[in-house]
Amino acid sequence: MIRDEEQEVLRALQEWAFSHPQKDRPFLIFMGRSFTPVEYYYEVVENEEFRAALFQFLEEQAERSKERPIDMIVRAIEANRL
Amino acid sequence: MSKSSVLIIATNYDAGSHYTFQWASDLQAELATMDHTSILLDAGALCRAGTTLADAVASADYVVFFGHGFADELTALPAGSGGKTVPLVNGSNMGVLAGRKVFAGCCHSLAKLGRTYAKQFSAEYVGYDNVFAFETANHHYFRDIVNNAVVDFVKGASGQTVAANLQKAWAGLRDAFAGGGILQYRPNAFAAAQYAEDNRKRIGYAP
Repeated sequence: MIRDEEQEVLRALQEWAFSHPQKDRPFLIFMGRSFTPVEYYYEVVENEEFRAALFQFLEEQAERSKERPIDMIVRAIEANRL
Repeated sequence: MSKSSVLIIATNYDAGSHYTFQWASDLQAELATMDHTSILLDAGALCRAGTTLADAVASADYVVFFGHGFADELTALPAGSGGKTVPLVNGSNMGVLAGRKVFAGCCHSLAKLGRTYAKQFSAEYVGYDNVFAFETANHHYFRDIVNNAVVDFVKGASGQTVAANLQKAWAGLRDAFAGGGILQYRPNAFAAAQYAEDNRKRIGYAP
């Protein structure tokens, strides 16, 4: 992803996390650690390795699905509104 | 179909193990309807209970663990103020598994404990060599993949086949949550897809 795309994804991720109906409840479980949506957002922002893994995954999936990396996050924002 | 005896051991002391304890309970119900014998025990109650673990293993063909793990440990109790977890099984007592076929639904344990156990006891061990992860809004999809793999194992599939089928199943779940997939509009689908993919990379077996 180019830098503009990364910033776009981070902004979308922030919107997803802070508009999440369960933003303070664990949603992602690593057996031994869990993240609420807001904790997840800050982990992505602050942890370079964590962020790189997300960006790489989004980029791979976008290429496979012929869409933009941000689109998976946009769908998650929309899912929160339902 | 031959009937098997399955010992399911699970923990239930935090958010992660709260979900996987449910998976263990669902697995026991599924095995019962298939006419297999299964016992579900709480690892926290087993760890200091004398010969209970050994007695339970003695009655089983398969041992299934759901909970937390490290490279050299299946964890029974969380770390207290001393900072150390209480192991259910580690390198010093792995003999208690007595050569049974093991499915470890936890982080890391294949990396060291599983490979050592499989080599030392000529037994099959299916597990993860890194973090095992799932997403809670969609945890039942993760549960189904894990529990179906255990059922295949119990029905006689080899550890190699179970691990290979799990890789395919995790890839399928990844694709279902990704763009164009049947689950793409589920809540938190991007994270569910990412960690289904990580589980695909991390599942394995020994020997």
